[in-house]
Amino acid sequence: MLPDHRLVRPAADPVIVALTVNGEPARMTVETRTSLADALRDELGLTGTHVACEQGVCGACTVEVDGEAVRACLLLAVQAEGAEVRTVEGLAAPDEPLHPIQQAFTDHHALQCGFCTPGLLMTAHRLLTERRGLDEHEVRTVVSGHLCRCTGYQGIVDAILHADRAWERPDAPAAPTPPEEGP
Amino acid sequence: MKPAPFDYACPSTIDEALGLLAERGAAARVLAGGQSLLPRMALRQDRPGLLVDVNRVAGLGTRTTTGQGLRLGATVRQAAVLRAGSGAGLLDAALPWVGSPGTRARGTVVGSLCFADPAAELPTVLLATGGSLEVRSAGGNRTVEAAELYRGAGRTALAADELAVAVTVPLDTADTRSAWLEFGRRPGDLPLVGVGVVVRVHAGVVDAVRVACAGVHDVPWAVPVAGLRGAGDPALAQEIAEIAARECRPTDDERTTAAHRRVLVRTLVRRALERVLRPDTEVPGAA
Repeated sequence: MLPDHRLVRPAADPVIVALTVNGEPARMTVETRTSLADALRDELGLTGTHVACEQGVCGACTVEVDGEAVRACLLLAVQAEGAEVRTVEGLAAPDEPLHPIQQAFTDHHALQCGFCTPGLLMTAHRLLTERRGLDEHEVRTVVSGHLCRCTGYQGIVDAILHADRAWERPDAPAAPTPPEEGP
Repeated sequence: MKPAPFDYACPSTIDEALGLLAERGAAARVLAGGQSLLPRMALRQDRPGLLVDVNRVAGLGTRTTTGQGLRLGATVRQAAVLRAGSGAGLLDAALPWVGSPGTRARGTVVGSLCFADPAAELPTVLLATGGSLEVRSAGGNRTVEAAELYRGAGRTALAADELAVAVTVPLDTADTRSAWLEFGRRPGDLPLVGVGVVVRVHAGVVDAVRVACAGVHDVPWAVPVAGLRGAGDPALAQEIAEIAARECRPTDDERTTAAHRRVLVRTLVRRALERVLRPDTEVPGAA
């Protein structure tokens, strides 16, 4: 069978990616190798998404893509064609009150330098959208996918547990799934 | 760092993907979840000329039950399997240890199997459960059993023009008992050693014991347990643990020493078997 070369986007050619970011249609012009994290920052100016390790370890670049919290450094911008993306800027507009999770992070001293914070907020947002009634072990397991070098994590865990109670959200199922054995 | 430039294709059918792989050969890589491949590319450890993104290929995202077990398509995410449960106890037990929630949201089961990291959980799970990979190329289809799949660190029996389209993992029966244990330095790291055990018991008699280890050799390693006899009590767990520690050939690397790995093998194999063997089960020449 002969390959269809029209499928191939050459490395040197810019690609236009159309997607939805924080509820608004957006277009980005990228290289095939550009990560979603870099495209959000450089093309759309959404610099709330932080880029640190660029290899999926630190979690700072976490955003929601089609309802999953993912590493934006490990997703190519071209792969986000047609996707629904939510970044930290989508949690609350500048003229709105903070999102309950953001307020909880403030109240519980869950950040110091703030570099890891956007990624943690998006992971927490996804977690709390899906579930309510979390226990501390589960929160610690999820938070372990993010590197924070300031807080020692206690404030972050406290904030997420508090936000779980404080954020009024109708959709999250009340019954927690049984805790997994794991790290 | 950023990856080196590469061509990118996002086919919508398996045939389109196979055509591209056949043409570009070893210069092409398949992109599924990307949670292992893209970090390697960012570190310039891999520089493929073409990425064939299979995420939009029709039919690869399905999960079905066949006569052989649970069949997961190539783009089924680890998080989706973990969320719903798989019906294969060892897979369910190992998945929480794979990466982190953020990487599991994108990472695929088949992708991790094909990446063939000898310290990773899922290749060893496949070996311990006796699963298989379904492979296609322009030349046809074939099934690769777990024991035949791995050829070395990062190397599988798949040719450059072949695409893994699905994995099949045998489902547990009422008599299946399994356990996954691992030791690593930090959550989310690959383990120094991981151990999976699957035992099947019929009427108090153990008719299958499989023990497999990650992080010990350059491929997932099956502990040779053929010919064991006796009661399925802690003494048997101890005996198999000693066999594993004696027969394994770990090496020193930058993460730890061979001696440390051998101790971990002995301890983890014993503990995993103690979880699944009961004193009231008998082991007549288990294979």
